[in-house]
Amino acid sequence: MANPLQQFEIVPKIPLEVGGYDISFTNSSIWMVVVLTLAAGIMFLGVRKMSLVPGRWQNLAELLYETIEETLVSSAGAEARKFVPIMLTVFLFILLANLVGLVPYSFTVTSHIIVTLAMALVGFSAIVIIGFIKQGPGFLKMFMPSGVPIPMLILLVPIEIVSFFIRPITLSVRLFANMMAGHVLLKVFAGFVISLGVFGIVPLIGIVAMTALEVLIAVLQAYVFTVLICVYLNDALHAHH
Amino acid sequence: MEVEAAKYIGAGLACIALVGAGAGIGSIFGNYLAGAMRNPSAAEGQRTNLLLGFALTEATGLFGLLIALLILFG
Amino acid sequence: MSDELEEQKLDARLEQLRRERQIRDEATRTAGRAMGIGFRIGIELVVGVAVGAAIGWALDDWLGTRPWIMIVGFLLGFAAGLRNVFRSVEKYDRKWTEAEAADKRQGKDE
Repeated sequence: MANPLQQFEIVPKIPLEVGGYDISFTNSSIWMVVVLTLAAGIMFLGVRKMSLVPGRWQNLAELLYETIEETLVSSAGAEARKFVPIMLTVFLFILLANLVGLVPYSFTVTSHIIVTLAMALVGFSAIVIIGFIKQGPGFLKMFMPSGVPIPMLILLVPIEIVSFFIRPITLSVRLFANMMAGHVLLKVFAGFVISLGVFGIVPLIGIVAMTALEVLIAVLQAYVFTVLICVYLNDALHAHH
Repeated sequence: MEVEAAKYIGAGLACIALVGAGAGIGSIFGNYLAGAMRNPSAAEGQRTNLLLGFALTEATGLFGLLIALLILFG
Repeated sequence: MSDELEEQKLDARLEQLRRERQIRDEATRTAGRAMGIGFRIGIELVVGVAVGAAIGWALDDWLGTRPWIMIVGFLLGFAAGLRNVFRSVEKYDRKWTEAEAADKRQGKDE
């Protein structure tokens, strides 16, 4: 049986090395470019022929935009509206990376923790900076739960700080673990189909059902990632109570 | 037996504690749901107790995990 | 005259269809959201504990106090994970209660 982890292997396609750093163009980079092209293509087709009665592509683009805008405004308030473009980009990138990864022979960019962690850390750092710009040193007040006696604060402040700093890690681990586990499961079951011969029909049915579930998870996880960044943005924009 | 091997076996055994936590969490949420189905109006007020029970159950399980980590890395 | 009647009928039918669709949409959305929360909570706890223990382990390495900071970090990570879980549950709880209240109000109007 083929190794189920083989699909996550990163293979350099164009080896490059600059100043001791390996910056080869890998299969991961190729699929990232594919995803970005798809995302740009969808949006380009969506706004090419703008009309009052939207066509198919415009409808899709508007649907995506409105979903993200609604999510962002409902979780972070009206002044968060200027972050719609970046959130839409994040959402589209993750969504398309997850969905493209389900196509056989492709590569799931989001199944690598380095990709998801990088995205989460960039978002998290941006939120911390925005928080300090908007609220100044008062941003640190979010670590001080109000209405708590001082002896309890000694216990609660470290908990709040740790729970704040594990946010980017939970964010990235959730996405990466979901994508990786799903793909490993599919691969393992696919191995059973071959090795069981005629009875392979049973795991085959399982794979069909699981692929449907994987599509759901791909969309859900992309949405969860975006929603959580919106929720964290809310903490940065509004003083904590 | 090698000390290293005994360590790994001990850590594995310590992780069995999580079986109890799993069963406990299942029991807590199952019973809460059963109670809430019978008397939905009372369910609202018991949610704090539910979360408290969940936290305590999870904590006992995690003590097993802590022992495992101590054996491995302590 | 009959045109107007037809139009009214059509309007009523449209209205009914729209309402049915809204209810169906709401149901799928709630199910999806519940699943999302379930996934979130599990990972939130595990990552909290893992990160707390890992930070403690690294500090132990640095300060040579093995294994004490790891134990503290483990407990702290667990508490932080729980805190995050409670926070998300609290928020969704409030949202759901609001939605329920709105539903009830709507039911009374009709």
